Amino acid sequence: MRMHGRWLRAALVALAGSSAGRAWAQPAPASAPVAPSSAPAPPEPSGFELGPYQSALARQRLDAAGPLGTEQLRQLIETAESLLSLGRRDEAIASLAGVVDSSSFMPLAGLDEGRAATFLLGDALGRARVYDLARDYLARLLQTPKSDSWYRRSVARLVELGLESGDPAPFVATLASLPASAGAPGAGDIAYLTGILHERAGNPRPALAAYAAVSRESRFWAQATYRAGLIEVDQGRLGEGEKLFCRIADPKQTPRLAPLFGGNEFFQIRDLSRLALGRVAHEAYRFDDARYYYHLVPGDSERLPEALYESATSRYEAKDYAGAHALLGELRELGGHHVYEDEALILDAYVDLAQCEFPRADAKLSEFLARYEPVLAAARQLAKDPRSLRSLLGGPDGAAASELGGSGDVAEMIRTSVRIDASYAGVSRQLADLDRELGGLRAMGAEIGQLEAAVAGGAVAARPVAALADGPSERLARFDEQTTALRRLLREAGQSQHPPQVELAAIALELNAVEAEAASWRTRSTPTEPAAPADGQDMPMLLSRDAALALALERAAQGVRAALGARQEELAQQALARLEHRLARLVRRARAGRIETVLGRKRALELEVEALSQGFLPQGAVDSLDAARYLSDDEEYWPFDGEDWEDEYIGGEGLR
Amino acid sequence: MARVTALRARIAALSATLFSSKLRVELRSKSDTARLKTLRVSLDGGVVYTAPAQTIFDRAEVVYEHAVAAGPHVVAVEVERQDLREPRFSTWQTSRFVVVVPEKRLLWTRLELEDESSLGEDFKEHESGQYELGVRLQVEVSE
Repeated sequence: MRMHGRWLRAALVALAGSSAGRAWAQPAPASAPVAPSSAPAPPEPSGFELGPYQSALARQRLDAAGPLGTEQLRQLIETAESLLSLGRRDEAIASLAGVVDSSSFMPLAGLDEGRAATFLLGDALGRARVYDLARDYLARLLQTPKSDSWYRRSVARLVELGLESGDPAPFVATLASLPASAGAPGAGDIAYLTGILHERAGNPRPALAAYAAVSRESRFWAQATYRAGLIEVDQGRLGEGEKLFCRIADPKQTPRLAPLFGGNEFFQIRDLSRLALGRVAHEAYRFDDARYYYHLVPGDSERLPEALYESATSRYEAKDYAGAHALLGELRELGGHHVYEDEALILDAYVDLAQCEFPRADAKLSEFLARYEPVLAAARQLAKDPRSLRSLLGGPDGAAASELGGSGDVAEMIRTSVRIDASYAGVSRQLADLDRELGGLRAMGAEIGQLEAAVAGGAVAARPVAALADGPSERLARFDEQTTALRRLLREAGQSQHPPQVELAAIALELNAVEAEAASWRTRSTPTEPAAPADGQDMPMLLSRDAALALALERAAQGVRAALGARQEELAQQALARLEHRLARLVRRARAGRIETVLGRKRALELEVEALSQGFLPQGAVDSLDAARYLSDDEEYWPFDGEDWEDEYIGGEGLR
Repeated sequence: MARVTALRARIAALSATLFSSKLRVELRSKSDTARLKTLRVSLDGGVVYTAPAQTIFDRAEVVYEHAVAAGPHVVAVEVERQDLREPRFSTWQTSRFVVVVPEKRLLWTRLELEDESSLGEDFKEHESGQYELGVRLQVEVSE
């Protein structure tokens, strides 16, 4: 149960990394998934490249855009804001790009309305996770000396996007030209982003310096201080780390306005800091301090199970078994599943063992084995079935049970016990984005065909509805669903009492062959090599160039998708391997614990016999002299009350 | 991603200029017992709207409006719902509708999602209940 330095650091880093996607999250490791380079993608554009189209439309007198003034811009901003508030991101981007990228926007770009439109476009692109374009448009607002609200909002948004994207380097480069004085707008935010960048690069010293530059008025003050504390602990300077964590954990040391600027995240970081303080104290064998720090984690915090479990561990090490039991009882009362559920049960049993409560410990260990041996078996089974594993980890809640043959509780325990790497969520998000874009690209090919027909002045041919509603991709998706169901049935059949192994193996072989055939169909359905785009700036040429680009992008996206899918599978397998390793260790401990309970009971008997031989009656034997123990339920025992009463009838028998 | 977004924006800008027909998709969700967990609207296989987290469509909202080519199009809605009282009870539903957009007119499609499932309320007490889901699409040529 004892923690060691390395373990502590890993725990602290994992703790921070478990909240992926938040601005204060652990920066992704250097091996974090990014778009793989295996699929060659066309170079990134500097903008929307609408100019050639607008010129071509103007030449054909098809340009419907009227005059552009501040009034029109105000209307556009209002529309775009309402679209964004409803989540109609793509429409907002399209409407803003059509104006901001037009030549008539240039004279208005420096006005308040123009700057607002540029910011909105950058913001919308950021929401769509198109980070390169978002950065380009937001950076335009920094190029003027005007330090207005759009300037400040741009700096703030660039920092947010730098943190969210997982690749802060280009954002730091964009912001590097800004004045770095302490009072400059967003200086604290930029320092925090720079610190993250240095930390990712494995340079703790510059990272510490950058975090130290984050002012108390910055919304990232708590994050920077916490991360600095993590670095100090990682470098073995526990005292320094503790001081930094205390600044966040102790309201008296926290800057007065920090919770106001930090928002909800401030309180989450305060909880993390209290946990970190507990761990640091635990590491230094200051068990009472550790208990105090863990106790500071509030009852409504999502970190409460961790705090209770860690606190119980420290009490166990301090040999305060009653305290450990009380904390584990609190943890049990929380209900629901949590990541420490398995370890808490083992710890509880070991506390009983330490108190020589052997039957109780044995009951708990038996309960653990009954509950977690099926989970371990299911985890081992899932390791051989990557698709089910992906579905279990990333699919909707209800799908988990079906993946494990309807065993909802086991599935839920796997889902809550498996400690997924933070980058898994990132890869899943990238895959979801890519799928969305791929769907759009397929539809776009047909739309470009219709546009070509419209430009040529001919009638737009109606598309066959059947092909739209039930294309090859939909059929392949249905096929996937059916094969998944079949695999589940095979698993269930394999778990029956007398499974027909030969028949099951034959079906599995056939299923593999059918899946391989489907995979080849999937490859065949990918678009063919696009024709070389024609040169020229007239509309048909531009459209045919974009049609070729759509095909090229689809091919590139499919390559990226395959690579991301492989990475996702690898991460899922790693997470499962960790779970299996942990559960196997705990199951071994449970079995060893049960042996301990038997040995303990044997030793207790030996002691009793030894005491008897020396003339000491054990409490059980003393109790056995109590006559009341031998009465049945309908009998009553009247003990001798110490006074003899003469029988009043003695001598009176002959009177009647 | 940047190239795809730029391409989408170019095509959207061209469609707005060259197509005279329009499609509007309006959405409303009626349910006292379930919340929307995921909602996506697609047009011809491409997702055109993804509802942000915690969105409630208790009032009709336009989720898509754009110029399209006249002729048939497939409007699809994919929805995942979760019971408010008993989150274990969830449903997934995908519905596709073919609509025909007339030349130089706006086709107003109104999607109504209904959920009158009673499992979350009844199953605990009576050990019985039902899922009752509905998707209705009303189409009207306007303007």
